[in-house]
Amino acid sequence: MESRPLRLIGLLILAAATLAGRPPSLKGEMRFGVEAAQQGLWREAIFRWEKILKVHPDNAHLHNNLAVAYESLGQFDRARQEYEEARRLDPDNREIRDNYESFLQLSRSLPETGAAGSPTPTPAGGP
Amino acid sequence: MPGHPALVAALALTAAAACGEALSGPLRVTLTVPMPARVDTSGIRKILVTRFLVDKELPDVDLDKEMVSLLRREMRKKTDLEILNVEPPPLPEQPLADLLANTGFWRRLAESHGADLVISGKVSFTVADRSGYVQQDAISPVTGQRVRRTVFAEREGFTLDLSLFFLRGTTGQRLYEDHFTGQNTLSGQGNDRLTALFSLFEQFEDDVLGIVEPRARTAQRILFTD
Repeated sequence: MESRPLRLIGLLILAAATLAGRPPSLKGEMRFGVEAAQQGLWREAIFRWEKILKVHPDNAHLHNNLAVAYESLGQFDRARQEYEEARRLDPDNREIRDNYESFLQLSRSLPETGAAGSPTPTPAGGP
Repeated sequence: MPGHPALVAALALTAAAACGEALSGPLRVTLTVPMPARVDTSGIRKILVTRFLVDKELPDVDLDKEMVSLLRREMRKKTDLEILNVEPPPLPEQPLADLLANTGFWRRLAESHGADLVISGKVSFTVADRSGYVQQDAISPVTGQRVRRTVFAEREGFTLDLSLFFLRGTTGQRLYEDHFTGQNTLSGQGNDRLTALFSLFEQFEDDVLGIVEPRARTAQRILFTD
C-alpha cells in the first residue's frame, strides 16, 4: 500500500529525467508554461517561455504568452513590449489583438510611469 | 516528500508536459493583475472627504451629503487610510476652476483638520424616462407555441456623473483628478433613488478606491498552448 505513492513519484522523476535529457521542444515548453500559469506559477511560466524564445524569437504566440505573464505580475512595460512584438509578428491574429486591446484598456487605469514597476502619480497641476 | 508542495507541483507539471495531455489551441485564463495606486500616497495617512459641488440632483436626494457619506464609508471599509469623520465645511462660492486654484482655502482646510489629503468633487445625478415598446418572447396559452409580442415597458434610466479632485494638504495644490460616469436602466417607475445611486457608484467604486490604494483587478486573457 505504502509503496504506491512512492512508485508514482518514481515515475514522475523518471519522466522528468527523460525530459531533462532532451532539448526543449517548443510545444512541450509552451504547454509546460501554460500548465504552470494555470496554477498561478507565472514566474515558472516566464522561465520556460523565455528559454524557448531564444530558439524561436519570431514566435508570436510565445511573445503573447510572455506578455500575459508579465501583465499578471504587474510588469506593464515588459508586457507592452511583448504584446507589441506579438502584434508585429502576427498582425492578423484575433486573440493577440483582443489581448492587446484589453491590456491597453487596463493600462488606462495606470499612473504615468517613468519605468516599469515604479509608478509615479500624474500631477494635475504644476507647483 | 508530501510536505514539499513546490516539488510536488513541479513533478505534476512535468508529468502533464510529458503526457502532452488535453491542452491544445488558445486557452482563456483569468489573471489577477496588481494595479498600483494612481496617487503617490507615501506620507498620506489622514484623508478628509469634504463637500461636493452639485450640478444636477433629484428633488428627494441630498446628493452632496450622500456622496460624502458614501465615499467616506467605502474608503473607511476598503482601504487602510484614516478617513476623518468631521462635518465638512461649506465650499467658497466660486466657479470650479477658481475653487480648484484656491490653494489657500484647501491648505487651511487640511490644516484645520490635520488632513494629508483632501478629496472634493463635482457630482450630477439624474433620471430620465426610458419607457418604450420592447419585444418579448412568450408561450401562447392557446397554441402552446412560442410567440413574439410587442409590449410597453416602463423604465427609468439613472446617470451618475462624478468628477473627483485630490488636493495635497500641505500645499493645497491639486494632485490628481478623475472623472467617472455610470448609467443604469431599471424596470418600472418610481425606483428608489438612493438604491440607484449606490448601485451606480458600485460600477466604478474599484476605480475610485484604486486612486489611493493599490488594488487587484481581474482580467481575462488568451494563452496559446502551441
